[in-house]
Amino acid sequence: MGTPAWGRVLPDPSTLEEPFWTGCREQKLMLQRCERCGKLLYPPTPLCRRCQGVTLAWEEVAPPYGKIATYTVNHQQWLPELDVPYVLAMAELDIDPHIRVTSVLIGVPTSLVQIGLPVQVEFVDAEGLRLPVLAPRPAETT
Amino acid sequence: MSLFNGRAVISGVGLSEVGRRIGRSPVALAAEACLAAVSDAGLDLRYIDGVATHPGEFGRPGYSGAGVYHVKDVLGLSLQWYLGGAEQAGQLGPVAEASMAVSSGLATHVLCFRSTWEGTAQAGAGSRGRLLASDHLASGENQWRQPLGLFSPAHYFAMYARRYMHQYGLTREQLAQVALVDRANAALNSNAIYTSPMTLDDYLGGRMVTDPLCLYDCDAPCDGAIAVVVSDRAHLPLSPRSPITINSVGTGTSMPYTWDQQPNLTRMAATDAAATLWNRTTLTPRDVDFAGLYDGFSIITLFWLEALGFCGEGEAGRFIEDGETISRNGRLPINTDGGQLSAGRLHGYGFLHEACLQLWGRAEGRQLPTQPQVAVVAAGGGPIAGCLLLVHD
Repeated sequence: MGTPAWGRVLPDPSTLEEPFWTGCREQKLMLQRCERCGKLLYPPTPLCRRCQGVTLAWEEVAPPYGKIATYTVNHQQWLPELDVPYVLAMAELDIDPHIRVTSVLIGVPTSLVQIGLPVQVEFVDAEGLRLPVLAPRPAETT
Repeated sequence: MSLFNGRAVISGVGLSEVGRRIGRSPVALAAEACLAAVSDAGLDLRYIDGVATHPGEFGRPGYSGAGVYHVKDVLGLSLQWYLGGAEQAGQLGPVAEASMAVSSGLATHVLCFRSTWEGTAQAGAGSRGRLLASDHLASGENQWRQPLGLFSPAHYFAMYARRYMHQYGLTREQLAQVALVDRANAALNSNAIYTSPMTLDDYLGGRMVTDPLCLYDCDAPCDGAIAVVVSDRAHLPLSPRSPITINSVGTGTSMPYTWDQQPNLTRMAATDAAATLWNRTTLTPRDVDFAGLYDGFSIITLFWLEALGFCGEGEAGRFIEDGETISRNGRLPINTDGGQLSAGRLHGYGFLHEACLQLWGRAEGRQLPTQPQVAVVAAGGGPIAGCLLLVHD
């Protein structure tokens, strides 16, 4: 199973999203939490989408566990440097299933990918940055 | 009951040259369609006092190249009212906005157009992927996409389709019917991009793009433009042909704009748009004789069938599986021009153009055997949606 060309396109965050990507560099999944209503928020937002609170604190989601809500096996050679096929998936987080992290799923044979598969967020190196990916999690955690 | 006090009508339609890679300016294509629509309405350019378009000059090359300003200038228009932009009820939003403009007296005849030249733009970039990832850096919404391997909207729609299959048992054989019915219809449309016959085996043998969507589930980028004239009924020129009434418009939305965070992965903004469409009319889904349902990716058509109430939630696969129900001889004929899968991605306006021709009885060799009087046209996928209910009697 392949992977996209990591680093071919890199994130260019504004100050709003910067803490998320800084977290990735430290191999941490960092999300915002509303200090007023307690809602976990992703993608980054200037105010709480549930209660419109403006005081949002960054916190690490640890362990960054979730399960596959849906997926696709990409076969298309969108760019010459892509290593296809690779799997893309949306993972709903255990800590709040309403939050989904969408990225490449690594380390699972295509034939074994299925909805409900337990995964964790890991990080891959890309041109001096790290990008979040989904990977199977240790059996004893599932 | 009709929205806009029955004042908002479609008085003319126009289509430019359409092709895979024409290499013409998108402004020239828009102007060609606009001139045809104005003539079709029995008007001339002096009467056009409004222009509305989606998405305006916005986004990547090919997605749009013709906005209000350039088209207004080449047509020499003097406007009372205009609008262009992406943040509205999808591709068909301008028709809803124009309906408000003419019924409130802000304008009397509004040109609504869409010009696309994705065929030529992709050829220039080298590939669709090159066009989508032409920058090394991705900001805004895109920072969650290309850096993480999502190079196309196809990826989101494939994931919606996979979830729908998991939840409701949809099969690829059922999904195929959208592409097969479109292709059969395209054989009757001399402007369609793909007209050669296609069988279920052809579909199932089609190259996989991003599982479960194969090549035939993805629409055909093309160059072309379509325009319609939305008029105030009180200011129509004398004509033997009666106009088409814009009976209702669907403009609602509640879904998060981030494509992966909506609460329910088997719903799209289509559900919100359709709910507002039906809340604003006394007509019901049972009154509809023809439907133009967005098929940028085949799965979107299934979402619209359910959103508009033609079948229940999770039932779209069974609704279309015989291929008959949605065929030109069926209970709910759809996409009689071939849809975007076969006639080309005219971004929602192909359905609108076709609906008008069918309602006027002007679809020639592909005119439906029973003259339709009520048509629904729906465009958009994911968080983007808008729909129209058109009546001609």
